[in-house]
Amino acid sequence: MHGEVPSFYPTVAWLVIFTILVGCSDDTSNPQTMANTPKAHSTALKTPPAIVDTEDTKAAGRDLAFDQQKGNCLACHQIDGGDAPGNIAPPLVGMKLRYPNRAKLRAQIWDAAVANPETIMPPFGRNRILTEKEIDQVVAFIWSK
Amino acid sequence: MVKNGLAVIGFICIVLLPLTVLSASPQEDIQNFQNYFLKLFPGVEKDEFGNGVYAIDAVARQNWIAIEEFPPYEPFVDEGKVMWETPFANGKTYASCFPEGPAQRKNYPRWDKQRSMVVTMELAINDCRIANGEKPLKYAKGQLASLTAYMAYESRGQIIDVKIPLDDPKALAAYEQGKQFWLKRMGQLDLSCAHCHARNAGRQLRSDVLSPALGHVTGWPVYRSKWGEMGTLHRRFTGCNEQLKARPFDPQSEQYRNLEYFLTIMNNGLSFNGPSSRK
Ligand code: HEC
Repeated sequence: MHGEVPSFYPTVAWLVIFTILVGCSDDTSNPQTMANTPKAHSTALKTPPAIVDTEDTKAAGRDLAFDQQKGNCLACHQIDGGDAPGNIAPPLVGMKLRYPNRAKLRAQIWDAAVANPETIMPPFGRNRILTEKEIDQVVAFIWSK
Repeated sequence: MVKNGLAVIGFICIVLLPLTVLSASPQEDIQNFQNYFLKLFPGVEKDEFGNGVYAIDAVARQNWIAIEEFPPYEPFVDEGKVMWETPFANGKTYASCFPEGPAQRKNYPRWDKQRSMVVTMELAINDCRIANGEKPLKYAKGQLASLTAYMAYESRGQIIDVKIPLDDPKALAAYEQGKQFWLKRMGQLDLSCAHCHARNAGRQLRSDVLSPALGHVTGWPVYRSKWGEMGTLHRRFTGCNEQLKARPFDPQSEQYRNLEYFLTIMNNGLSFNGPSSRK
């Protein structure tokens, strides 16, 4: 199982390191932490760039989360702004409080079975239901809820 | 996985203890399966489970009762009756294979020792056609669904009593395979039939209330508004497999016949009530 998607561990490790270094406070909309500025890139080796959830990223994440053929989070979770949600799993609210560590939220979406083998949450990363980039977008959206 | 043993055991105890214990006898499986749903939905009579989601969803039930006043499957039952009565090219009819008449539901699925396989009513119909020099019918929908609609209609009220013959261990093996299929995680979504139709029965998957598996086999074929036509049980199996982003098996494949065998045995004691309508 572990050999299947080698990109997972580096990503998580990166996020963990990032979380420790930068913290996961909700200042991600602060333009000063923009990841894509040249400055952020040049210092990336020492200090990973801060993640910034632009409105575009969050909108892309919302589309994926609501799309029945993609994330389809609404099948099981209530999400503010989503129509006809299911009630199989808890509503997605207060996510920054529930997941102060954003990497944990990503890991839960990537493969919830790691934390709970009897979960009924589909392993979006492990089974490649979503791409790594799509998962990042969904995380950005869900974390804003 | 060892470190997660407790969680696994917890789940098993709460939900599907009997079904996951391999040594449980089919008799114990039936009891535990049925008791699980009867406890989950107190107040719903056992036979009422044959109405699927309408047994447990009061709002949807109202619409359904209105629809059943002019049942959308009626023209298909009529078409099936004509098929039943129309002779093959050789002059014989289906009655030559089913001398008891069209009310055949109670006889299927059954274990055929000689052929060492589960024979469903759909399969028996095509066997009959082939034996009489006719082409077999497609298994998911169309004419076969009409003919089985007529046969199911004539069989309404028959009690499900599917047996596992003790003199052939392969029959029990087929049952076990059906059971394991039902419990196995599959597809990209990595879910089993049991996850939705046992553990989460009654909860809402988006706007669909998930039906309990008790009742899953009684009312086929079904006229589904979403299909705009009739479909067989195996057509529905295909659909649920696809929903899990799993490659479906062919209708009447060994996997689906064994699944039908297991599920029908789990429904022993309920009455056949097909054909039915669903949204
Ligand atoms: C992701 C959840 C999910 C899983 C897993 C699932 N199904 Fe379903 N199934 C549904 C939904 C939604 C419906 C339509 C509403 C209903 O009747 O439950 C349905 C309907 C059915 C029906 C029709 C019930 C009726 O009365 O009309 C059958 C039979 C069925 N499923 C069998 C299966 C089998 C067998 C499996 C395993 C291969 C399976 N399902 C896996 C969601 C699921």
